[in-house]
Amino acid sequence: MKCESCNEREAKIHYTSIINGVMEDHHLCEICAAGIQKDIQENFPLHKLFEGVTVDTKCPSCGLSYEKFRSTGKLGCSRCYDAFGKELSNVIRGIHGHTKHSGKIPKRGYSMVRHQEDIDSLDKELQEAVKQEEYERAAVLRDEIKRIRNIMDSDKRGE
Amino acid sequence: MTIWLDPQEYDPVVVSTRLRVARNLREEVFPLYSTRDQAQETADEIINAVDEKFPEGDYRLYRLREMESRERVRFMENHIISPGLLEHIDKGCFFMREDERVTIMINEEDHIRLQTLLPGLDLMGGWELCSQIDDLLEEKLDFAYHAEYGYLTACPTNTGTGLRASVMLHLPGVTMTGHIGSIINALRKIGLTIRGLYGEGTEAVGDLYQVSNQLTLGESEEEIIEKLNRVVQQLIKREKSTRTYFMEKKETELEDKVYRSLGILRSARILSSKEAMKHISMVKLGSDIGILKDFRGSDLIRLMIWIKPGNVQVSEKRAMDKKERDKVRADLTREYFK
Repeated sequence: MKCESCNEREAKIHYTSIINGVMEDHHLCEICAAGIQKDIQENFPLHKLFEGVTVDTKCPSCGLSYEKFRSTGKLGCSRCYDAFGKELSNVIRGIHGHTKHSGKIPKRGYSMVRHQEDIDSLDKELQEAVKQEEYERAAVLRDEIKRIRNIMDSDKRGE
Repeated sequence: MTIWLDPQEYDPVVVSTRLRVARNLREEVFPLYSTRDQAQETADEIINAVDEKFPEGDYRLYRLREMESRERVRFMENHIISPGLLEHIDKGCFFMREDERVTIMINEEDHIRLQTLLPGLDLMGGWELCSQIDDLLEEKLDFAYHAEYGYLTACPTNTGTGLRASVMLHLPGVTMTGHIGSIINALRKIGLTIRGLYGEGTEAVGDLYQVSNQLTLGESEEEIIEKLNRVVQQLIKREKSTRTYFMEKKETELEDKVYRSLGILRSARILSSKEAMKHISMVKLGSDIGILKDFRGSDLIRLMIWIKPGNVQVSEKRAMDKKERDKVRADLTREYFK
């Protein structure tokens, strides 16, 4: 039997395709079969099959992807720590057996951290106040948040 | 160089105590991923802070790309800078305090690696010095700090305190008992580690080891230091008791080893640094326990550094290949032990 593609060489590969319910027998020589194989690989690359199934997080600040971190073991900037959230937290727990620092706190950074924590909790209260339609309380809370933000800004400028 | 190794504070087992903290600037990309311009900007910011906080001029700045290769290597061999800094020649620089006991490395894996290096065992002294300089720098620099994770570092293995405290020990006795392997395993279980002379991934030559903390998150600096201190005390005790044992039970065998080593150092024409280290280690052991009277342990520790490839080339003021270095090294040791 001649190869159905080139009509020259002897067909050595025989297979049946079912496309839209239509069954067809095919007979190809090795060379044409390899060509089709290549064509299939190019059109349906295997390495792309699962692309997009796992979402690769990127740090919004430095642009480092979580995959890149996984391959190098090194983070790109201080913002990566929050950007990679839970996954990184698990990595850190795996290394140290802990995720909570209990040592030195920078003097200036301390107030920064505390201010941020205060803002976070005030912000929660503010959301709650708005929900309950307690607008007067919400205004007080909003002013307090603003006040702390101003302190943080002046701290940052080193005043 | 190696003036940090003060012979007044010589201890036959403990060579030195080294502490380093890793710090990063909040707003800058870490050195591994930064462009040369970004790295330069970060370095300038840190350099300005150091200049401003230490105006007395006792800190001198060295830029790696402006140095000869052998100069750079010598600073590493003398434990002033880390092998990691040598991987960042285009971006890296460092400040060294006059007495060599403080180094501020810039653009290593992290923006800042602050190191204090003291002779003998003095973990608390090293930490106080380190923390004090850290506080001064923090007045000028906005360090990356996280309410939960502590100080943020390029590698999550350093996050938290960013502290690596290590003690360099000369353990020929323990090495001869063949117990180093089991000590490594025992230390790992309590978050400590023991490695070769130049830290991570380096081989122990000359029976010199560094014991250090492996973990940086969850324990405070003081807790880390106390634990390390207790373990080091135990290792010192063990080293001393094995030395006594060998002296009492195997005196001739020990003397034989020491004198053979001295013989090689006095006669060899070609010496690799590894072989030289091995024999100097035995001569140091012999001197520490009184078999040899002519040499001082503190000088032998210095010699172990001086025969290193970078040091040999710097003292000869020229670049040499290994073959030539091995010959010059043999000349140096023959002269020394003459």
